[in-house]
Amino acid sequence: MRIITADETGLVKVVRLESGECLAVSAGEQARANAVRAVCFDHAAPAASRHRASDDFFARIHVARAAGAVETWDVSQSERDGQTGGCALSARGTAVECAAAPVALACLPPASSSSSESSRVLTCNGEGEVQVSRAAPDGRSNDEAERTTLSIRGPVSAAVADGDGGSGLALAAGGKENDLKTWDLGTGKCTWKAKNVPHDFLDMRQPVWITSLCPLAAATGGGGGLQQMVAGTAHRQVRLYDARAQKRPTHSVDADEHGVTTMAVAPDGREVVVADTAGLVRVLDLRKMKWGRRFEGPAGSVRGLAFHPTLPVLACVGLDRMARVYGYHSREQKFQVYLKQRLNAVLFDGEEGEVQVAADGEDGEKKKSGAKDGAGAGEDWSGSEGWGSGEEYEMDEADSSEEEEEEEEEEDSRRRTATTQVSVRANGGKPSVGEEDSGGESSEEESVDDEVDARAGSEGGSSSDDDESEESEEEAKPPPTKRRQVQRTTASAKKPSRR
Amino acid sequence: MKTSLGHIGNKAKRTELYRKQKGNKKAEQKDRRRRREREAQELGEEAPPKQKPKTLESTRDPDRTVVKPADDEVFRDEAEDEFARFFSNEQTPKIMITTRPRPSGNLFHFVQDLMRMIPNAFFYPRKSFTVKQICQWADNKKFTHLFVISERLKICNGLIVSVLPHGPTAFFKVSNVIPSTEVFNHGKVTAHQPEIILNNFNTRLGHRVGRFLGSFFPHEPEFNGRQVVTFHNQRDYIFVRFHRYIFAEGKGEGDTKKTRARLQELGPRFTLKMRWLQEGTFDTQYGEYEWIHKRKEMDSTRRTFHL
Repeated sequence: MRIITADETGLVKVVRLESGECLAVSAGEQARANAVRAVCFDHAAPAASRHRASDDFFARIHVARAAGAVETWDVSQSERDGQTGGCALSARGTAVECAAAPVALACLPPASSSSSESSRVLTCNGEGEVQVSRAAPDGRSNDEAERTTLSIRGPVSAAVADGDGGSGLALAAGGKENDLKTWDLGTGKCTWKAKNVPHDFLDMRQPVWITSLCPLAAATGGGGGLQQMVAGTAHRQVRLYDARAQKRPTHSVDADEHGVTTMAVAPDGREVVVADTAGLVRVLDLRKMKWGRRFEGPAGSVRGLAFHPTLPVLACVGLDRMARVYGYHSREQKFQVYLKQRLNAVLFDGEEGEVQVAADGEDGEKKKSGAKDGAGAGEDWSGSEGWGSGEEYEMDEADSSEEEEEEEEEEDSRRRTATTQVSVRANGGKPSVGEEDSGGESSEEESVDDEVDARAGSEGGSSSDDDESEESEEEAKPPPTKRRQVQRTTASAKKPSRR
Repeated sequence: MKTSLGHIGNKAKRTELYRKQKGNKKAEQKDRRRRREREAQELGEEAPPKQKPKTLESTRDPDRTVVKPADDEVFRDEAEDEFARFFSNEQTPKIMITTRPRPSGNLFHFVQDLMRMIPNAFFYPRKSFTVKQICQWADNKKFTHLFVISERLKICNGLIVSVLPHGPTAFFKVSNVIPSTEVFNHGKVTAHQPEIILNNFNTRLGHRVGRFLGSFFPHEPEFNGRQVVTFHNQRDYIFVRFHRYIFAEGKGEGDTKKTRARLQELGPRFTLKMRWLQEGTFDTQYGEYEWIHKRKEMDSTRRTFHL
């Protein structure tokens, strides 16, 4: 497995994860003025074709530098110490000039569909100067003519572009006190503006600071342009926007105590990995809008996240100078490579390491047919059993609000720890995912209740079958600890009936 | 050999036997040491190496980020980092020291000690300004560092240092503060610019912290003053000491007359432990942390150190 990282001093490195060695380092002066702000794969080399073993060439990348240049590099296989498996980075064409300090870089398909054309790159800097130009120009006269620029309102701290939508090129951007907007790059017109969330309970305006953007449809390859997006904010929210539905975010969920720096949507589009300025990397389930598992390790701000094109593996780089690679389901840290500089961006190459695949297939607890030799690329992500069953879906009842769910979860866990007897019954009576929630749940609670009553009866000798009698508890007089349990379980059991 | 003497009922007898046992042990140890020394003297250079005690530090987990002497990539980065201007003497550090709001009187003694230790430091009362406001103000006044000292029970317990204008910012826990007046036989500080010793900052992060600490001082020491500030890192605790050294001539004649180096402590003494290092000037809300100490994750083993 290989990753491509780019750092603050302008180096682009191709790293083999298994051995932790740098296969290739880009040529050029190491200086902070040349810092790489963003990297992306070339459009012409889609994920599926990037790891053909027969092909020497396996990736073309675009690199946006702080000084205001976009370079194009070809990553190709080369011999290394007489053996295959090495890498070479070779510059292609000349660099494209762009506005200084770009914050976003995207690769778009060529303007005309002729195969000889090279693809185009879009850059956007903090002041909102957007530029679309041909990547790696060879000095022909019409390069300048093909360059289009657009000035959008700054400050911009996150931007994404999409050229697959069929409806031309779209750009979405947002920043500090600059809410999310989308533009049609063909006409240069703003097509959609987000609206800020309502004022808070003190009737105060909510501050806006979008720091990270991810298109949702693009991850699943569904097209649709930039209709659905996830936005992370410095005010530590993750928001879901659906341009077709409304201008305000359709969902908003609070992150931990630090602002979001970067996000990555899982290839099946159901989950998004959110990283913050203190190195907390967590998974957010987009359907339930609930926080899930966490990837431990990063000691500092995370600047780049990338998924493997085919395997459920996540790469994560940041200011702590380490590249870390995790099993996405097992959240186990597979590799950790020290890369000496503070890293700004990462790309996951399509090559699949053998060791890695086997390991992840074994320990992804909830995955059975998960990662097998990487042959069925789609299966890894879209297989329903790959996405967990049982416990994860326990809370999937649609109508209950979040807090109630949490309470129930607590109650549930408490019940489980209280007595094994009760917990067995509770698990046994758990409703399946598709069932009507109220019926299933109440039957579960009743069964628990019966259980408790029966126990109280057996201990105290005399007990009525009435489920909410304090008298019966007093009569029963179980030992103090048990009594507390009994009270708690009856309390929890009463809840749904009240509702 | 140690045998249990607990069964002896007579206390006087038991105590006596215990004392004897202890004495024997001591004597044996002494004997062993003597023998080792004699052996070493006889064998000369072929003597077995001196035994080293196993400590947490000597049995430290191997760290891949330790900077090797020939690691040019790291040194090229350091050649133009935020501290390079201080190390190349292009800029003289100018330090603004302030405290938490409403400091206690005792804290001023610590401020005084710091100002004696660090040249070109100026104290400003905190008043009611926020640290962010002070950063802005200090930058306008061409200060290069801002120190904000916090205290608990009238003793300094924390130190925020922000390098201006572009950061980074670090927060250090401060412990074991001994003011210079309480250091036994302490000397008087002169106005000379001190030399700096940065010990044991070996990892990549350690290098950065070492450079951070080194950037407080102008890099043209006045050797006449013979004053040294030491930042000694041991197990991620940074011990700060301030000494004057002297080469004293021995009293004897001929061979016995040797020049000896002697130290006089000037004080204060305190210990720093870094809690976080953050990009940019002080901004705990929106700033990006380069490194943050996560106790639950990082302190799971006692043999892993970060500096």
